[in-house]
Amino acid sequence: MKKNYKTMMLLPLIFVCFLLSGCDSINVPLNYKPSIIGLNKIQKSKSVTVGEVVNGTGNDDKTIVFGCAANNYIATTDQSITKVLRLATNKALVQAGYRSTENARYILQANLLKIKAEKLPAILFQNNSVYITTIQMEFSLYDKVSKTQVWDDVYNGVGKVRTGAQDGIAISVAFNRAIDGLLKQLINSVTFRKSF
Amino acid sequence: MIKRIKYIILFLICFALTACSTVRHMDLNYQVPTGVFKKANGVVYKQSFMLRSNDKRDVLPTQIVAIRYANTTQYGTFVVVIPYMSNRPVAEIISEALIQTLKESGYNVTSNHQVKYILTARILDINCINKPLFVKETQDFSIKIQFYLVNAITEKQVWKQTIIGHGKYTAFDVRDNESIQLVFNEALTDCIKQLMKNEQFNNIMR
Repeated sequence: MKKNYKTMMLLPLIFVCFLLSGCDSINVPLNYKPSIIGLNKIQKSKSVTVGEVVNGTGNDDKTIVFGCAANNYIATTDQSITKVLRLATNKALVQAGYRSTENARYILQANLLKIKAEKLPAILFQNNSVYITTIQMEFSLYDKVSKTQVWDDVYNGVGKVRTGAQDGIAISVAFNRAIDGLLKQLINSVTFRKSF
Repeated sequence: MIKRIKYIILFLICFALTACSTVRHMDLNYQVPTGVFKKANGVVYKQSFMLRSNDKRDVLPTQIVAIRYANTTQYGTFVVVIPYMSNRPVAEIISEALIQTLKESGYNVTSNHQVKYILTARILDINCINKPLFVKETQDFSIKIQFYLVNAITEKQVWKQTIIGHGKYTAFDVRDNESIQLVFNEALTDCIKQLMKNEQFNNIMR
């Protein structure tokens, strides 16, 4: 009887272990290097302060929801996503000819609204899967003097990559492309340029 | 021999194309639920405002949502992403729904340009996840809208809030257009209810 009891206790444990064996943790190494092509440079240099990027996704700052085969998994990055986004925004602005200083009149604030990654399975005759990373961010420009918000808009960045690499690496590559696309839209936005 | 190979290739192409007809078109409408939106006793919303809406999703304006389904066959599990398309832009449907429900609840919504405030509804995301629940399936639908109120005279933003409305539906088959209509209705109703419960918004409108 005792033996049976032990076996019965072990069965759910084995079942849980079996279920968990399918959930490999996905680690995403973030290594963003700016490679934005087609940025329109500004004629006259303008100063701007890039503020902290707020995480408005409702998830942890190192979490990317990863959709794969009708299920959602959690991919964990090796560094803070919002910090990477702030650095990327700063670099893109400098690349476009803006002066990034701490005491500028205008502050560019950003809010990360959504970040998700997806894996689409390989189609006929192709071995590699497609990875799509989507980032949605809201940017607002504040005037320190008048204490008002002078501009505000939402941008989406979509990065795609077809690869046979590991999930984490593929997500990272698609993430970099998504940032590039998003920041290109921000920098080239006419309303953003004209707002200050 | 060459003819046979040609037929096989043609057959394979036709077989592959059968999986491509996965876009679903539907006539999406918002049906105001009876008895939900009423004028509150003794509350008067004096301030007039105009409503604007815009879609900030990175999809076609008529796309309601794209749902990922897993089809299990004898050859394995295939994942298909089915976009559900509406006949009209989704922002237009949401805008009409907001105007109708806000008016029914006693808010001073007008199309007149001489208003004090402009309320903008920015659609940020529409998402739907299908989850198997034993023999049934559950559809989790969510609409994320950012509302912001701008003073029409000073052009200053006076209020801003992001609201997520949820809708849920469980059935044996949730892949039909009717279920999308149901969860869309429920999620948008939830979203509007949350907007009307917002004290800051109501204080400005009084």
